Amino acid sequence: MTDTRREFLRYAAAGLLPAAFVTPRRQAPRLTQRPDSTRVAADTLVAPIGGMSRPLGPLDNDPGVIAIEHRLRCSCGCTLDVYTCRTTDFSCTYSPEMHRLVVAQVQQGATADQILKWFVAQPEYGDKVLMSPPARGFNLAGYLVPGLLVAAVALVLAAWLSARRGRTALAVAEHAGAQPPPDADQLERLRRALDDVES
Amino acid sequence: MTFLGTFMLWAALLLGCWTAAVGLFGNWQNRPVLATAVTRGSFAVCAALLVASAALWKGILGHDFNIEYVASYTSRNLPTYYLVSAFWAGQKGSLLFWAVILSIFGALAQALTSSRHKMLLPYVAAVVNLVIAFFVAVMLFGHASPFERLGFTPADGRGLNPQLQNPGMVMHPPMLYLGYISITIPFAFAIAALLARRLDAGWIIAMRKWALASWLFLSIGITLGMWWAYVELGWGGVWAWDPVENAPLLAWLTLTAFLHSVMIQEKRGMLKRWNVSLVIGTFLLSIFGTFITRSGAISSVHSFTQSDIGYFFLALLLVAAVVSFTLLYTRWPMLEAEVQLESLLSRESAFLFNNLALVGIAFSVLWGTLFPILSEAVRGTKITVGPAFFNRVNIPLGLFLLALTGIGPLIAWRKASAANLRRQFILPVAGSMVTAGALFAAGLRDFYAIMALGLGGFVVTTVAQEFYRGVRARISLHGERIPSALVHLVARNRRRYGGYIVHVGIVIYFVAFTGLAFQVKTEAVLSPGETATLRSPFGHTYQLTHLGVSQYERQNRQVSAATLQVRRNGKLIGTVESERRQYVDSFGNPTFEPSTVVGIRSDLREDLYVVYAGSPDGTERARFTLMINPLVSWFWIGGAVLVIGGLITMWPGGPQLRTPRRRVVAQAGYAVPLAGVSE
Repeated sequence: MTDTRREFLRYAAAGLLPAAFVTPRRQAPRLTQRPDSTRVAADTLVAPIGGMSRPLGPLDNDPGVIAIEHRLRCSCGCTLDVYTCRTTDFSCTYSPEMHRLVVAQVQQGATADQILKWFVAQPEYGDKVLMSPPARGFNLAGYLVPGLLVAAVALVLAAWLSARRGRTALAVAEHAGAQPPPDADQLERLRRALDDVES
Repeated sequence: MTFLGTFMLWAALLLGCWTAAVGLFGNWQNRPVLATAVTRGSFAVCAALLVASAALWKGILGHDFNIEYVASYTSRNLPTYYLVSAFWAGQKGSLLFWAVILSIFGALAQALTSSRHKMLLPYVAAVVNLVIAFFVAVMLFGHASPFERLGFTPADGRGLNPQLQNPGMVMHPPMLYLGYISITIPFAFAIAALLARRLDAGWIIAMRKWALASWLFLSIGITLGMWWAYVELGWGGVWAWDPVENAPLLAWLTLTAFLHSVMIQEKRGMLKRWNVSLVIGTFLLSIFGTFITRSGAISSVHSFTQSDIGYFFLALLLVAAVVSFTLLYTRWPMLEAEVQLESLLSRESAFLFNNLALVGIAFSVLWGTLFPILSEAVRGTKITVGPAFFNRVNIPLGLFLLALTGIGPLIAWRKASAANLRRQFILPVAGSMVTAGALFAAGLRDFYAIMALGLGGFVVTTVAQEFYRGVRARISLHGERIPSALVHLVARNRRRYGGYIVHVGIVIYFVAFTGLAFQVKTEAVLSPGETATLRSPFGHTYQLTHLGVSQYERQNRQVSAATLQVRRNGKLIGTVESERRQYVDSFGNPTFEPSTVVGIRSDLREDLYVVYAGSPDGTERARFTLMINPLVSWFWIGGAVLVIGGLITMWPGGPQLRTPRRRVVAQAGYAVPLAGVSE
């Protein structure tokens, strides 16, 4: 989002050209020179936009908690995992709550699998809370069908091509027997044609 | 204006139906007069929709808030460039945008197509105008007209969603729409060829540039979408495998497959059925993408509001699929290959496997997108299919595709000999091994990262080898200097060398995606003067010192901006600023939820990415999400390289494509090329 037309054009260029050359670098506001800015001299903001943000909890940056939250879907409908949502969408009330539940369980000594199972067992979450369905039962079809299908088609294709090679060789042999050998002019045209095909 | 707009929509609907009917009937009856009428009908539909669009734009720019669409997506204090983009920001406006652009493309197809293919044009116009008529009908009968009036006139509009107030969103949707929409033209040519029973290479030549243009627009649209997601959404990534993100990728993948397999049809007269199927499939996927974006059938963070018009698109999808594949079935015998594949070790085979990988990835993405619906239908259980699923399935296929990107150009047409393979593969394989070895020696241990970068080295060496040999041949034959030889080499065979440049762009994308796997992310709460430290995957350390929060107002928003001073390994390199914004209408009333603007410091190696989350206690003490995103700039560089390659490929002029009129069916070695040469 932009402040001026010039900045807008620079952003627009960054979308079309390599960002390394034109990606805008946000400069710090020149507080003393900006007439319409209200520099907070003391330490109180006039009105914090979006209300107060959450303070940092003791396990907010814990790799174990983050790993669990990456496997849980935020139930706000954003389609993001809990960790990404709570560190991205600061107006979401669902992901902080789910984060608190994860932290509480971690503090009680639950393992990652136990926490995930606990979420799945809750009626308000269910299987949908997992970012990827567990690889069992019908879900196996989800994981295996694309790979198996591609592998099967590849095998059929390879087998078909091998079979074609045999038939083609036979056709070449029969044709060679029926045709007189090419003369020099034909060979030259052949060479030119092959060059053309190669290019 | 609304009366004029609605009147023009009705005019476009009637003219579109009339043009389609005359196009089908006129060609069927072989009456040239009707063919002329069809061309004029296409121009008239285009003119009607242009007038309707002008009417909507007048309403938007004139702040006519009595128009429901204008009141919903604009406000008096919205900057002018976002007023312009509001045309396609909402469901109803985007339908009109789709229809008008398709009508322009349809008219251009009538005007620009060579007279050699004029037999196809009435059918092309019929198909295009049927699709246009469908979109206009959705607007008129699906309660989706952008000209609907309110029972009152609000003093101000609601304004544009803050996430759409981004230059990326000014350009990304139209580019994606242009890609989606222009797919209709190749589809129309394919259907026209089937209807007219003219299934030689003519329709391919007539529509090839349209297919390339669609591919180019889709590529630009997808890349701009990634850029928008990265700079706007604040999660530090570019691709989340959201259904609406997947939709254009599906069409892009099948179109890419087509652009490769069509070369086999042009060179060898093979894969005709497959090519027609790919064009039809790509069109159907574009409609499928429109359906999931507009129906709400699949949950997505990006989709338009849930509405019934999605089911119009489902109906179009089904009807188009049934009609197209029935038509293909009836013409099946006419699409017999002129020659047969001769060897597993041939460029044709490599292209076949390339098509398999591309369509396989498209299928797996489609499968993952639809699997939640399937699961609910079969088991009655809702599930989520997130990025982990897509990555697990698609990364191996993507690496296979990357390998084929390098292998394809190295193998000879028809049949490769052992000597040919040795000569072609030695350097690229060495390039791959050196790249992988160097990365391993540098401490990289991630298997997929080494594979991706190693295969990237393979492809880049392949392309470099091709350019080197071409330039060397020109120097030897024509005595040219290196720059001149390089320019002439590319100019003489734009498709081939433009394609190689596209391959380099794809490799750069893979490199950038690999880099994102090493993202560093943490959260911190800092008082002014306090410092957070982040360690880059490249080994250096950033120290970020919070300078304070400033508050001010702008044209349509209130802003709190937090500034961090940035030091790298103790050396001051500048500042980075992130904002919290509250958008307001012209009376100062909040219009949307508060939003965040990320601060980014970017260089070729990595991006420092800062998100100001707000203040925990109403003071300048601020909460931040801090990230280091390696190699992100290379996404945009890769996109630029891809676009340059695509433009070279489709640039007009250059040697004409020569397609043999007839080939000898016999497989015996000499007969095949000689038949082509003798013409």
